[in-house]
Amino acid sequence: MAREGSGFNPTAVLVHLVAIALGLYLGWIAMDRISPDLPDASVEPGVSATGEVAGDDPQSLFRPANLEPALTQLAGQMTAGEGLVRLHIEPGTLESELNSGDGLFQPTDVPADAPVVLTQTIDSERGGEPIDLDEIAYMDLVATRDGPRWYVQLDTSRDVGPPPWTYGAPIAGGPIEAGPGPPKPVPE
Amino acid sequence: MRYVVRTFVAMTLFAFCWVAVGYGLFQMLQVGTCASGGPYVSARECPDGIEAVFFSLIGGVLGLFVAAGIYLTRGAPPGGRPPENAGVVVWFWTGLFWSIAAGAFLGVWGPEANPGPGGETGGLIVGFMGLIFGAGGLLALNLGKRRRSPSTRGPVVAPAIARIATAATPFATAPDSLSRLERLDRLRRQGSLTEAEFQTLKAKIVEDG
Repeated sequence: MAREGSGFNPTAVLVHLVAIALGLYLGWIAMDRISPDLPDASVEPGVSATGEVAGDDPQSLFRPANLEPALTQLAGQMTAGEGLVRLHIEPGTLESELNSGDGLFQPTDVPADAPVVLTQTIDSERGGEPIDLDEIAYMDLVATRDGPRWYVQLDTSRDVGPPPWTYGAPIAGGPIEAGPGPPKPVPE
Repeated sequence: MRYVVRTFVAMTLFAFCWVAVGYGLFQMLQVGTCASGGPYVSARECPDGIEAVFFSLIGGVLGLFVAAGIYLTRGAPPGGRPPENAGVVVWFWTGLFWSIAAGAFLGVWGPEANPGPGGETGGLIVGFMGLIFGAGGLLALNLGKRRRSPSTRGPVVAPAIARIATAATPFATAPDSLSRLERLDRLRRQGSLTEAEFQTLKAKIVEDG
């Protein structure tokens, strides 16, 4: 380019060098101005409601109508090839733990009505004190060797009666297991 | 003047877009995946101004093509012959892909690199692809130049070309010599040339080949 047909041409060289230097400078300045504040890459995907939310509030994430869009919003933050090792649901927050590999599950695999169904099953299983969404502290869905399993923790700060205060169940909801320890996630 | 203005505009735009493409890719690798909108607050909320990153990447690629178009119309430099444009498109092609490679490698290995989820693998794949695609353009340009230039051929090919050129010379010059001799003969018959002058000029034409 600097030779431009008939040997070395100083004008051509000068024009090219000055223009490239100016373009790089202007590009650098312009891009620096439009640079956004990037999110922290170490933060795992999740969603949260604004303000305090109780288990049986209309905005509670235990309710299918709220869990469904929250799961969609969670899926939007995930990368192709990633799967969920653990999904932690509280009335006002949805947190996740991601990995890649076999045996994991996707937000689309989670039945949005599972918290309600599980609560009703636990209530009928226990008898005694009635258990409603307000008596649930959190629900975890964990990827295990036998497929995703629910782990439900009752809110012991409330009047929930005697133990067991934890319950386990397959992702579909039943049969329910009383008093299990937290499930072991895969990959270990 | 036309050369200076168009070259200046094209190269400035080229360098500007080069930075824009590399920057756009770098930023996209840092963001990884993010979500905007929805009824809840996302943990990985897309930052304000993320659209600018996207537009800088796409606009930068388009701008490089515009810069190439302007550069192709720059004309002859002051005091020089019209430039060859055969390699210009290849240089811009290489510039585009190496800009992509630079942005990707800076996004993965650079001093401020903090690739988002999946960003490292994606960045390395894009970086090496950009490097290879850009180098491929230059390689093709170099091979094309070698084919066009006989002087760069090997010792077997060069003498063969020389022999063909030598053998073709009499055929190439024959019609010219013949017409000159015919014209000379016509002048002699008209009496415009003496026999001695005719013989002298004839010998010269034959000698010239």
